[in-house]
Amino acid sequence: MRLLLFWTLGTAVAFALTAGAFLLLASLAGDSSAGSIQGDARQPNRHTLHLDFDKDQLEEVGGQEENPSLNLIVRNNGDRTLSKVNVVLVSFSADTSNPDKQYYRATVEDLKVGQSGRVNLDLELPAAEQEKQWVLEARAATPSGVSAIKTAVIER
Amino acid sequence: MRYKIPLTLVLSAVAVLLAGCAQQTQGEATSMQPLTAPQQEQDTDLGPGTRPLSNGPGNKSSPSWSPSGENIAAIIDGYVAEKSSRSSDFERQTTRDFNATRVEWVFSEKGLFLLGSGKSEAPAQEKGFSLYRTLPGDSGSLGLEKLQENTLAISSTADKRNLIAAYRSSPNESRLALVRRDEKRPLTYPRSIEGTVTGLSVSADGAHAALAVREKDGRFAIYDYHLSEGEPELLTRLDKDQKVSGAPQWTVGGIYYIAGKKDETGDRNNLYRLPPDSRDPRPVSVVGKDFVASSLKSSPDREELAILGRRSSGSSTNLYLLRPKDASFNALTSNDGMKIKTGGENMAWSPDGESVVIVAQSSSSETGAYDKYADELLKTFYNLYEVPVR
Repeated sequence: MRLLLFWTLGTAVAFALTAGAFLLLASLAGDSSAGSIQGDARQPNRHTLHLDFDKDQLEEVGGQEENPSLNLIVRNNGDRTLSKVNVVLVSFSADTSNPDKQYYRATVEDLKVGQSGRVNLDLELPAAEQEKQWVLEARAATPSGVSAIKTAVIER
Repeated sequence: MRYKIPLTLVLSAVAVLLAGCAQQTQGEATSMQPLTAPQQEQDTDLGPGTRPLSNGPGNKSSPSWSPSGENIAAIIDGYVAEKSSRSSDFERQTTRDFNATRVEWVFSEKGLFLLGSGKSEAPAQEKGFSLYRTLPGDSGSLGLEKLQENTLAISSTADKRNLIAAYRSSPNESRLALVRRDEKRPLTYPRSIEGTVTGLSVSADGAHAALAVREKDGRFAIYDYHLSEGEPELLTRLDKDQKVSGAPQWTVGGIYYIAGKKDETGDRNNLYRLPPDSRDPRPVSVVGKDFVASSLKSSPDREELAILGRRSSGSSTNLYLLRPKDASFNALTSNDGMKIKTGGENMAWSPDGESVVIVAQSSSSETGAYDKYADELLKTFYNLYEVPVR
Protein backbone atom coordinates (compact mmCIF):
# COMPACT_ATOMS: atom_id res chain seq x y z
CA MET A 1 0.00 0.00 0.00
CA ARG A 2 2.78 2.39 0.97
CA LEU A 3 4.63 1.44 -2.22
CA LEU A 4 1.54 2.22 -4.32
CA LEU A 5 1.13 5.64 -2.65
CA PHE A 6 4.81 6.40 -3.25
CA TRP A 7 4.49 5.47 -6.94
CA THR A 8 1.38 7.62 -7.43
CA LEU A 9 2.80 10.68 -5.68
CA GLY A 10 6.11 10.32 -7.46
CA THR A 11 4.46 10.12 -10.86
CA ALA A 12 2.24 13.16 -10.16
CA VAL A 13 5.17 15.28 -9.01
CA ALA A 14 7.22 14.23 -12.05
CA PHE A 15 4.34 15.12 -14.35
CA ALA A 16 3.79 18.55 -12.77
CA LEU A 17 7.50 19.42 -12.82
CA THR A 18 7.97 18.33 -16.43
CA ALA A 19 4.84 20.13 -17.69
CA GLY A 20 5.73 23.29 -15.78
CA ALA A 21 9.27 23.28 -17.09
CA PHE A 22 8.16 22.89 -20.69
CA LEU A 23 5.48 25.60 -20.37
CA LEU A 24 8.05 27.99 -18.87
CA LEU A 25 10.54 27.23 -21.64
CA ALA A 26 7.92 27.68 -24.38
CA SER A 27 6.75 30.98 -22.95
CA LEU A 28 10.30 32.30 -22.56
CA ALA A 29 11.12 31.24 -26.12
CA GLY A 30 8.07 33.11 -27.46
CA ASP A 31 9.01 36.30 -25.66
CA SER A 32 12.64 36.24 -26.64
CA SER A 33 12.18 35.52 -30.33
CA ALA A 34 9.29 37.85 -31.06
CA GLY A 35 8.71 40.25 -28.24
CA SER A 36 7.28 42.95 -30.52
CA ILE A 37 5.02 40.44 -32.28
CA GLN A 38 3.31 39.55 -29.06
CA GLY A 39 2.95 43.22 -28.19
CA ASP A 40 1.39 44.04 -31.58
CA ALA A 41 -1.11 41.26 -31.36
CA ARG A 42 -2.34 42.22 -27.93
CA GLN A 43 -2.61 45.91 -28.74
CA PRO A 44 -3.53 46.13 -32.43
CA ASN A 45 -5.01 49.60 -32.06
CA ARG A 46 -1.79 51.09 -30.73
CA HIS A 47 0.33 49.78 -33.57
CA THR A 48 -1.53 50.55 -36.73
CA LEU A 49 -0.53 50.64 -40.34
CA HIS A 50 -1.96 52.88 -43.02
CA LEU A 51 -1.85 51.97 -46.70
CA ASP A 52 -2.85 54.09 -49.67
CA PHE A 53 -2.28 54.61 -53.35
CA ASP A 54 -0.74 57.76 -54.75
CA LYS A 55 -4.05 59.38 -55.61
CA ASP A 56 -2.77 61.50 -58.51
CA GLN A 57 -1.17 58.46 -60.14
CA LEU A 58 -4.24 56.36 -59.49
CA GLU A 59 -6.42 58.84 -61.40
CA GLU A 60 -4.10 58.50 -64.39
CA VAL A 61 -3.58 54.74 -64.33
CA GLY A 62 -6.88 53.98 -66.08
CA GLY A 63 -6.09 56.21 -69.04
CA GLN A 64 -2.57 54.91 -69.61
CA GLU A 65 -2.14 52.20 -72.17
CA GLU A 66 1.20 50.67 -71.26
CA ASN A 67 2.89 49.79 -67.99
CA PRO A 68 1.71 52.64 -65.79
CA SER A 69 3.78 53.37 -62.70
CA LEU A 70 2.02 53.44 -59.34
CA ASN A 71 3.26 54.33 -55.88
CA LEU A 72 1.91 52.70 -52.75
CA ILE A 73 2.36 54.61 -49.51
CA VAL A 74 2.73 52.78 -46.19
CA ARG A 75 2.58 54.83 -42.99
CA ASN A 76 3.40 53.75 -39.46
CA ASN A 77 0.66 55.24 -37.29
CA GLY A 78 1.64 53.17 -34.27
CA ASP A 79 4.03 53.81 -31.42
CA ARG A 80 6.84 51.41 -32.34
CA THR A 81 9.20 51.06 -35.24
CA LEU A 82 8.14 48.42 -37.72
CA SER A 83 11.22 46.53 -38.78
CA LYS A 84 9.60 44.99 -41.86
CA VAL A 85 6.39 45.64 -43.79
CA ASN A 86 5.55 43.28 -46.65
CA VAL A 87 3.47 44.84 -49.41
CA VAL A 88 1.56 42.81 -52.00
CA LEU A 89 -0.47 44.26 -54.85
CA VAL A 90 -2.86 41.91 -56.63
CA SER A 91 -3.97 43.16 -60.03
CA PHE A 92 -6.95 41.55 -61.75
CA SER A 93 -9.94 42.16 -63.97
CA ALA A 94 -13.34 42.94 -62.46
CA ASP A 95 -14.62 40.50 -65.09
CA THR A 96 -14.57 37.26 -63.11
CA SER A 97 -14.59 35.12 -66.25
CA ASN A 98 -10.95 36.17 -66.54
CA PRO A 99 -9.24 34.35 -63.64
CA ASP A 100 -5.73 35.70 -64.33
CA LYS A 101 -4.08 37.64 -61.50
CA GLN A 102 -0.75 39.41 -61.32
CA TYR A 103 1.09 39.73 -58.03
CA TYR A 104 3.60 42.48 -57.22
CA ARG A 105 5.64 42.20 -54.02
CA ALA A 106 7.85 44.68 -52.16
CA THR A 107 9.20 45.22 -48.65
CA VAL A 108 9.54 48.39 -46.60
CA GLU A 109 12.11 48.09 -43.81
CA ASP A 110 12.65 49.97 -40.59
CA LEU A 111 9.56 52.15 -40.76
CA LYS A 112 9.77 54.51 -37.79
CA VAL A 113 6.81 55.93 -35.88
CA GLY A 114 5.00 58.56 -37.95
CA GLN A 115 7.08 57.82 -41.05
CA SER A 116 5.83 56.85 -44.50
CA GLY A 117 7.45 54.44 -46.90
CA ARG A 118 6.89 54.48 -50.63
CA VAL A 119 6.81 51.47 -52.94
CA ASN A 120 6.96 52.00 -56.68
CA LEU A 121 5.41 49.40 -58.96
CA ASP A 122 5.37 49.19 -62.75
CA LEU A 123 2.05 47.63 -63.61
CA GLU A 124 1.15 45.59 -66.65
CA LEU A 125 -2.44 46.36 -67.57
CA PRO A 126 -4.33 45.06 -70.62
CA ALA A 127 -5.74 47.45 -73.20
CA ALA A 128 -8.73 49.48 -72.03
CA GLU A 129 -10.89 48.01 -74.80
CA GLN A 130 -10.38 44.53 -73.37
CA GLU A 131 -11.07 45.31 -69.73
CA LYS A 132 -13.33 48.18 -68.76
CA GLN A 133 -13.03 47.77 -65.00
CA TRP A 134 -9.79 46.76 -63.30
CA VAL A 135 -9.08 45.97 -59.65
CA LEU A 136 -5.89 46.74 -57.71
CA GLU A 137 -6.00 45.12 -54.26
CA ALA A 138 -3.07 46.18 -52.05
CA ARG A 139 -2.21 44.49 -48.76
CA ALA A 140 0.48 45.46 -46.26
CA ALA A 141 1.40 43.30 -43.28
CA THR A 142 4.14 43.02 -40.67
CA PRO A 143 5.43 39.61 -39.57
CA SER A 144 3.52 40.23 -36.34
CA GLY A 145 0.24 40.31 -38.25
CA VAL A 146 -0.52 44.04 -38.21
CA SER A 147 -2.12 44.61 -41.59
CA ALA A 148 -3.82 47.12 -43.83
CA ILE A 149 -5.86 46.76 -47.00
CA LYS A 150 -6.71 49.17 -49.83
CA THR A 151 -8.57 48.29 -53.00
CA ALA A 152 -8.85 50.53 -56.02
CA VAL A 153 -11.34 49.94 -58.81
CA ILE A 154 -10.22 51.62 -62.01
CA GLU A 155 -12.84 52.62 -64.55
CA ARG A 156 -11.34 52.71 -68.02
CA MET B 1 10.72 -0.17 -10.83
CA ARG B 2 9.72 -1.90 -14.03
CA TYR B 3 6.77 0.45 -14.62
CA LYS B 4 7.97 3.76 -13.13
CA ILE B 5 10.06 5.00 -16.04
CA PRO B 6 7.61 4.28 -18.85
CA LEU B 7 4.69 5.90 -16.96
CA THR B 8 6.67 9.03 -16.23
CA LEU B 9 7.79 9.22 -19.83
CA VAL B 10 4.24 8.89 -21.10
CA LEU B 11 3.00 11.63 -18.78
CA SER B 12 5.89 13.85 -19.71
CA ALA B 13 5.17 13.35 -23.38
CA VAL B 14 1.54 14.32 -22.80
CA ALA B 15 2.73 17.44 -20.98
CA VAL B 16 5.04 18.33 -23.86
CA LEU B 17 2.19 17.92 -26.33
CA LEU B 18 -0.16 20.04 -24.24
CA ALA B 19 2.42 22.76 -23.84
CA GLY B 20 3.26 22.72 -27.55
CA CYS B 21 -0.34 22.79 -28.65
CA ALA B 22 -1.12 25.67 -26.30
CA GLN B 23 1.70 27.74 -27.74
CA GLN B 24 0.81 26.86 -31.33
CA THR B 25 -2.80 27.90 -30.87
CA GLN B 26 -1.69 31.22 -29.42
CA GLY B 27 0.61 31.76 -32.39
CA GLU B 28 -2.13 31.16 -34.95
CA ALA B 29 -4.48 33.52 -33.18
CA THR B 30 -1.79 36.18 -33.26
CA SER B 31 -1.41 36.06 -37.00
CA MET B 32 -5.15 35.94 -37.68
CA GLN B 33 -6.26 38.66 -35.30
CA PRO B 34 -5.57 41.76 -37.39
CA LEU B 35 -7.32 40.45 -40.50
CA THR B 36 -10.68 42.02 -41.08
CA ALA B 37 -13.54 39.55 -41.28
CA PRO B 38 -15.59 40.00 -44.45
CA GLN B 39 -18.65 42.01 -43.64
CA GLN B 40 -21.56 43.03 -45.82
CA GLU B 41 -22.23 46.68 -46.29
CA GLN B 42 -25.78 47.40 -45.28
CA ASP B 43 -26.14 50.87 -46.79
CA THR B 44 -27.45 49.86 -50.19
CA ASP B 45 -28.63 53.29 -51.45
CA LEU B 46 -31.85 51.53 -52.45
CA GLY B 47 -33.87 52.32 -49.35
CA PRO B 48 -34.56 50.70 -45.99
CA GLY B 49 -35.05 46.96 -45.76
CA THR B 50 -33.12 46.15 -48.91
CA ARG B 51 -30.60 43.36 -48.31
CA PRO B 52 -27.54 42.61 -50.44
CA LEU B 53 -27.37 38.96 -51.57
CA SER B 54 -23.95 39.14 -53.20
CA ASN B 55 -20.85 41.28 -53.18
CA GLY B 56 -17.54 41.62 -54.93
CA PRO B 57 -16.56 41.86 -58.60
CA GLY B 58 -18.59 40.26 -61.38
CA ASN B 59 -21.35 41.62 -63.59
CA LYS B 60 -24.41 39.77 -62.26
CA SER B 61 -27.72 39.37 -64.06
CA SER B 62 -30.75 37.08 -64.43
CA PRO B 63 -31.22 36.02 -60.80
CA SER B 64 -33.46 33.00 -60.16
CA TRP B 65 -34.47 31.43 -56.84
CA SER B 66 -34.49 27.70 -56.31
CA PRO B 67 -38.00 26.28 -55.68
CA SER B 68 -37.31 26.13 -51.93
CA GLY B 69 -36.09 29.72 -51.82
CA GLU B 70 -32.90 28.64 -50.06
CA ASN B 71 -30.53 29.11 -53.00
CA ILE B 72 -30.19 31.62 -55.76
CA ALA B 73 -28.58 31.36 -59.20
CA ALA B 74 -27.38 34.16 -61.44
CA ILE B 75 -25.31 34.83 -64.51
CA ILE B 76 -21.93 36.32 -63.61
CA ASP B 77 -19.84 37.67 -66.48
CA GLY B 78 -21.47 35.16 -68.85
CA TYR B 79 -21.22 32.00 -66.73
CA VAL B 80 -23.86 30.60 -64.39
CA ALA B 81 -23.31 30.21 -60.67
CA GLU B 82 -25.44 29.47 -57.63
CA LYS B 83 -25.18 29.90 -53.88
CA SER B 84 -27.10 29.67 -50.66
CA SER B 85 -28.93 32.91 -49.82
CA ARG B 86 -26.98 32.94 -46.54
CA SER B 87 -23.55 32.39 -48.08
CA SER B 88 -21.41 34.92 -49.93
CA ASP B 89 -19.64 32.44 -52.21
CA PHE B 90 -21.06 31.46 -55.57
CA GLU B 91 -20.40 28.00 -56.99
CA ARG B 92 -19.86 28.01 -60.74
CA GLN B 93 -22.18 25.71 -62.75
CA THR B 94 -20.85 26.25 -66.27
CA THR B 95 -17.53 26.97 -67.89
CA ARG B 96 -16.40 30.58 -67.70
CA ASP B 97 -16.95 31.08 -71.46
CA PHE B 98 -20.52 29.79 -71.54
CA ASN B 99 -22.21 33.04 -72.75
CA ALA B 100 -25.40 32.55 -70.73
CA THR B 101 -28.22 35.00 -71.27
CA ARG B 102 -30.94 33.70 -68.97
CA VAL B 103 -31.36 31.37 -65.99
CA GLU B 104 -34.54 29.71 -64.69
CA TRP B 105 -34.50 27.43 -61.66
CA VAL B 106 -37.36 24.93 -61.67
CA PHE B 107 -38.33 21.42 -60.44
CA SER B 108 -35.84 20.93 -57.62
CA GLU B 109 -32.66 22.17 -56.00
CA LYS B 110 -30.78 20.68 -58.99
CA GLY B 111 -33.10 21.86 -61.75
CA LEU B 112 -31.19 24.76 -63.27
CA PHE B 113 -32.19 25.70 -66.81
CA LEU B 114 -29.93 27.95 -68.79
CA LEU B 115 -30.41 29.87 -71.96
CA GLY B 116 -27.18 30.66 -73.68
CA SER B 117 -25.12 30.34 -76.79
CA GLY B 118 -22.85 27.82 -75.12
CA LYS B 119 -19.11 27.51 -75.24
CA SER B 120 -17.47 28.69 -78.47
CA GLU B 121 -20.78 29.39 -80.19
CA ALA B 122 -21.29 32.97 -81.33
CA PRO B 123 -24.22 34.80 -79.71
CA ALA B 124 -27.19 34.80 -82.05
CA GLN B 125 -30.02 36.99 -80.78
CA GLU B 126 -32.14 36.65 -83.88
CA LYS B 127 -31.61 32.94 -84.42
CA GLY B 128 -32.19 32.20 -80.77
CA PHE B 129 -30.05 30.60 -78.10
CA SER B 130 -29.87 27.02 -76.93
CA LEU B 131 -31.66 25.72 -73.86
CA TYR B 132 -29.56 23.62 -71.46
CA ARG B 133 -30.15 22.00 -68.12
CA THR B 134 -27.64 21.07 -65.47
CA LEU B 135 -27.28 17.33 -65.09
CA PRO B 136 -28.79 16.07 -61.83
CA GLY B 137 -26.33 14.83 -59.26
CA ASP B 138 -23.39 16.36 -61.05
CA SER B 139 -22.71 19.25 -58.72
CA GLY B 140 -19.28 20.62 -59.37
CA SER B 141 -18.73 18.67 -62.59
CA LEU B 142 -20.11 21.47 -64.78
CA GLY B 143 -22.17 18.94 -66.76
CA LEU B 144 -24.89 20.30 -69.04
CA GLU B 145 -27.42 18.74 -71.39
CA LYS B 146 -28.62 20.63 -74.46
CA LEU B 147 -32.42 20.38 -74.73
CA GLN B 148 -33.47 22.70 -77.52
CA GLU B 149 -31.74 24.83 -80.12
CA ASN B 150 -33.06 28.14 -81.47
CA THR B 151 -34.81 28.93 -78.19
CA LEU B 152 -36.36 32.38 -78.18
CA ALA B 153 -37.81 32.73 -74.66
CA ILE B 154 -38.40 30.66 -71.51
CA SER B 155 -40.69 30.97 -68.52
CA SER B 156 -41.28 28.73 -65.54
CA THR B 157 -44.83 28.01 -64.50
CA ALA B 158 -46.04 29.79 -61.37
CA ASP B 159 -45.40 26.75 -59.16
CA LYS B 160 -41.92 26.22 -60.68
CA ARG B 161 -42.86 22.65 -61.58
CA ASN B 162 -42.61 23.04 -65.37
CA LEU B 163 -40.82 25.19 -67.89
CA ILE B 164 -42.33 26.56 -71.10
CA ALA B 165 -39.89 27.35 -73.90
CA ALA B 166 -40.58 29.14 -77.19
CA TYR B 167 -38.35 28.17 -80.07
CA ARG B 168 -38.01 29.04 -83.73
CA SER B 169 -39.31 26.14 -85.83
CA SER B 170 -38.88 27.87 -89.22
CA PRO B 171 -37.82 31.39 -90.32
CA ASN B 172 -41.24 32.92 -89.60
CA GLU B 173 -42.75 30.42 -87.23
CA SER B 174 -42.41 29.70 -83.51
CA ARG B 175 -43.52 26.83 -81.36
CA LEU B 176 -43.97 26.28 -77.65
CA ALA B 177 -42.58 23.28 -75.80
CA LEU B 178 -43.19 21.93 -72.33
CA VAL B 179 -40.17 20.79 -70.33
CA ARG B 180 -41.14 18.43 -67.53
CA ARG B 181 -39.05 17.06 -64.74
CA ASP B 182 -39.09 13.41 -65.78
CA GLU B 183 -39.17 13.82 -69.57
CA LYS B 184 -35.92 13.47 -71.45
CA ARG B 185 -37.06 15.70 -74.32
CA PRO B 186 -39.35 18.77 -74.41
CA LEU B 187 -42.92 18.09 -75.56
CA THR B 188 -43.93 20.42 -78.42
CA TYR B 189 -47.43 21.92 -78.44
CA PRO B 190 -49.39 21.12 -81.61
CA ARG B 191 -50.12 24.56 -83.07
CA SER B 192 -47.36 26.91 -84.16
CA ILE B 193 -47.38 30.70 -83.93
CA GLU B 194 -46.84 32.86 -87.03
CA GLY B 195 -43.86 35.08 -86.28
CA THR B 196 -41.11 35.23 -83.67
CA VAL B 197 -41.96 34.95 -79.98
CA THR B 198 -40.10 37.72 -78.14
CA GLY B 199 -41.39 37.07 -74.63
CA LEU B 200 -43.73 34.83 -72.65
CA SER B 201 -45.20 34.27 -69.21
CA VAL B 202 -47.52 31.59 -67.84
CA SER B 203 -50.81 32.02 -65.94
CA ALA B 204 -51.15 30.95 -62.29
CA ASP B 205 -53.04 27.75 -63.22
CA GLY B 206 -50.56 26.87 -65.96
CA ALA B 207 -53.32 26.78 -68.60
CA HIS B 208 -52.34 29.92 -70.54
CA ALA B 209 -49.22 31.62 -71.79
CA ALA B 210 -49.15 35.31 -72.66
CA LEU B 211 -46.92 35.81 -75.71
CA ALA B 212 -45.37 38.83 -77.37
CA VAL B 213 -44.87 38.01 -81.04
CA ARG B 214 -43.12 39.92 -83.82
CA GLU B 215 -45.02 39.00 -86.95
CA LYS B 216 -43.64 38.57 -90.46
CA ASP B 217 -44.41 42.19 -91.40
CA GLY B 218 -42.61 43.47 -88.29
CA ARG B 219 -45.77 44.30 -86.31
CA PHE B 220 -45.99 43.19 -82.72
CA ALA B 221 -48.94 41.25 -81.34
CA ILE B 222 -50.07 39.83 -78.01
CA TYR B 223 -51.33 36.24 -77.97
CA ASP B 224 -52.99 34.04 -75.39
CA TYR B 225 -51.71 30.54 -76.03
CA HIS B 226 -54.17 28.02 -74.56
CA LEU B 227 -51.70 25.45 -73.27
CA SER B 228 -54.35 22.89 -72.39
CA GLU B 229 -55.68 22.89 -75.98
CA GLY B 230 -52.41 23.82 -77.69
CA GLU B 231 -54.12 26.72 -79.54
CA PRO B 232 -52.87 30.29 -79.96
CA GLU B 233 -55.41 33.12 -79.77
CA LEU B 234 -54.56 36.58 -81.12
CA LEU B 235 -55.59 39.21 -78.56
CA THR B 236 -54.31 42.43 -80.06
CA ARG B 237 -52.03 43.71 -82.77
CA LEU B 238 -50.05 46.88 -82.07
CA ASP B 239 -49.67 49.85 -84.41
CA LYS B 240 -46.91 49.48 -87.01
CA ASP B 241 -44.58 51.89 -85.26
CA GLN B 242 -45.00 50.25 -81.82
CA LYS B 243 -42.99 47.46 -80.26
CA VAL B 244 -43.44 45.34 -77.16
CA SER B 245 -40.60 45.53 -74.67
CA GLY B 246 -39.89 42.31 -72.75
CA ALA B 247 -42.41 39.63 -71.88
CA PRO B 248 -46.11 40.36 -71.33
CA GLN B 249 -47.08 39.32 -67.79
CA TRP B 250 -50.10 37.26 -66.91
CA THR B 251 -51.88 38.50 -63.75
CA VAL B 252 -55.27 38.04 -62.11
CA GLY B 253 -56.19 41.45 -63.56
CA GLY B 254 -55.34 40.53 -67.13
CA ILE B 255 -52.20 40.69 -69.25
CA TYR B 256 -49.84 43.63 -68.67
CA TYR B 257 -47.22 44.66 -71.19
CA ILE B 258 -44.88 47.53 -71.99
CA ALA B 259 -44.95 49.13 -75.42
CA GLY B 260 -43.34 52.15 -77.04
CA LYS B 261 -42.24 53.54 -80.36
CA LYS B 262 -39.78 51.35 -82.27
CA ASP B 263 -37.38 54.14 -83.16
CA GLU B 264 -37.06 55.54 -79.64
CA THR B 265 -34.75 54.56 -76.82
CA GLY B 266 -37.52 53.45 -74.49
CA ASP B 267 -37.84 56.78 -72.68
CA ARG B 268 -41.52 56.91 -73.58
CA ASN B 269 -42.47 53.31 -73.00
CA ASN B 270 -45.92 52.96 -71.46
CA LEU B 271 -47.65 50.27 -69.45
CA TYR B 272 -50.77 48.69 -70.93
CA ARG B 273 -53.33 46.19 -69.68
CA LEU B 274 -55.49 43.76 -71.55
CA PRO B 275 -58.33 42.98 -69.11
CA PRO B 276 -59.43 39.32 -68.89
CA ASP B 277 -61.50 38.27 -71.93
CA SER B 278 -60.79 41.59 -73.65
CA ARG B 279 -59.04 42.53 -76.89
CA ASP B 280 -58.94 46.20 -76.07
CA PRO B 281 -55.64 47.26 -74.41
CA ARG B 282 -55.78 50.26 -72.10
CA PRO B 283 -52.98 52.41 -70.70
CA VAL B 284 -52.55 51.80 -66.97
CA SER B 285 -53.41 55.13 -65.35
CA VAL B 286 -52.56 54.30 -61.73
CA VAL B 287 -48.81 54.60 -62.45
CA GLY B 288 -49.18 58.26 -63.51
CA LYS B 289 -49.17 59.81 -66.96
CA ASP B 290 -45.41 60.49 -66.99
CA PHE B 291 -44.38 57.03 -65.79
CA VAL B 292 -41.71 55.35 -67.94
CA ALA B 293 -41.98 51.57 -67.62
CA SER B 294 -38.87 49.45 -68.19
CA SER B 295 -39.74 45.88 -67.18
CA LEU B 296 -42.37 43.73 -65.48
CA LYS B 297 -42.55 40.50 -63.52
CA SER B 298 -45.71 38.99 -62.05
CA SER B 299 -45.64 37.38 -58.61
CA PRO B 300 -45.83 33.59 -58.19
CA ASP B 301 -49.58 33.79 -57.41
CA ARG B 302 -50.04 36.34 -60.24
CA GLU B 303 -51.76 38.70 -57.75
CA GLU B 304 -49.03 41.34 -57.92
CA LEU B 305 -46.78 42.90 -60.50
CA ALA B 306 -43.22 44.10 -59.84
CA ILE B 307 -42.35 46.97 -62.17
CA LEU B 308 -39.02 48.65 -62.82
CA GLY B 309 -39.55 52.16 -64.07
CA ARG B 310 -39.31 55.89 -63.51
CA ARG B 311 -41.95 58.34 -62.30
CA SER B 312 -40.87 60.60 -65.16
CA SER B 313 -38.15 60.55 -67.80
CA GLY B 314 -35.78 62.61 -65.61
CA SER B 315 -36.12 60.62 -62.38
CA SER B 316 -34.29 57.55 -61.06
CA THR B 317 -35.31 53.99 -61.83
CA ASN B 318 -37.08 52.32 -58.91
CA LEU B 319 -38.88 49.08 -58.18
CA TYR B 320 -42.65 49.46 -57.82
CA LEU B 321 -45.45 47.11 -56.84
CA LEU B 322 -48.81 47.15 -58.59
CA ARG B 323 -51.77 45.17 -57.22
CA PRO B 324 -54.30 44.75 -60.02
CA LYS B 325 -57.14 43.81 -57.63
CA ASP B 326 -57.23 47.13 -55.77
CA ALA B 327 -55.24 49.17 -58.33
CA SER B 328 -52.66 50.15 -55.67
CA PHE B 329 -49.23 51.26 -56.81
CA ASN B 330 -46.28 51.81 -54.45
CA ALA B 331 -42.53 52.30 -54.66
CA LEU B 332 -40.53 49.50 -53.00
CA THR B 333 -37.13 51.20 -53.33
CA SER B 334 -35.90 54.76 -52.88
CA ASN B 335 -32.96 54.84 -55.26
CA ASP B 336 -30.16 57.23 -54.32
CA GLY B 337 -27.49 57.06 -57.01
CA MET B 338 -27.75 53.44 -58.13
CA LYS B 339 -28.05 52.02 -61.65
CA ILE B 340 -30.74 49.32 -61.58
CA LYS B 341 -30.56 46.78 -64.40
CA THR B 342 -33.78 46.72 -66.36
CA GLY B 343 -35.24 43.77 -68.27
CA GLY B 344 -37.70 41.31 -66.78
CA GLU B 345 -34.97 38.69 -66.49
CA ASN B 346 -33.24 40.93 -63.95
CA MET B 347 -36.09 40.64 -61.44
CA ALA B 348 -36.77 37.48 -59.44
CA TRP B 349 -39.71 36.97 -57.11
CA SER B 350 -38.99 34.74 -54.13
CA PRO B 351 -41.08 31.54 -54.28
CA ASP B 352 -43.16 32.73 -51.29
CA GLY B 353 -43.87 36.08 -52.98
CA GLU B 354 -42.40 38.03 -50.06
CA SER B 355 -39.53 39.74 -51.89
CA VAL B 356 -38.08 40.64 -55.28
CA VAL B 357 -34.40 40.42 -56.19
CA ILE B 358 -33.02 43.14 -58.44
CA VAL B 359 -29.52 43.86 -59.82
CA ALA B 360 -27.84 47.22 -59.24
CA GLN B 361 -24.55 49.06 -58.90
CA SER B 362 -23.48 52.60 -58.05
CA SER B 363 -24.02 55.03 -60.90
CA SER B 364 -20.66 56.66 -60.13
CA SER B 365 -18.02 55.62 -62.64
CA GLU B 366 -15.05 57.33 -60.99
CA THR B 367 -11.92 55.46 -59.97
CA GLY B 368 -12.15 54.93 -56.22
CA ALA B 369 -10.12 53.39 -53.39
CA TYR B 370 -11.63 51.56 -50.42
CA ASP B 371 -10.40 50.12 -47.10
CA LYS B 372 -11.78 46.69 -47.99
CA TYR B 373 -10.91 43.59 -49.93
CA ALA B 374 -12.36 43.51 -53.45
CA ASP B 375 -14.75 40.69 -52.60
CA GLU B 376 -16.23 42.83 -49.80
CA LEU B 377 -17.13 45.70 -52.12
CA LEU B 378 -20.82 45.95 -52.84
CA LYS B 379 -22.03 48.99 -54.76
CA THR B 380 -18.90 49.25 -56.95
CA PHE B 381 -20.05 46.21 -58.96
CA TYR B 382 -23.40 44.90 -60.19
CA ASN B 383 -24.75 42.91 -57.26
CA LEU B 384 -28.01 41.27 -56.20
CA TYR B 385 -30.35 43.01 -53.74
CA GLU B 386 -33.42 41.51 -52.11
CA VAL B 387 -36.24 44.02 -51.71
CA PRO B 388 -39.05 43.09 -49.30
CA VAL B 389 -42.52 43.49 -50.73
CA ARG B 390 -44.39 43.80 -47.43
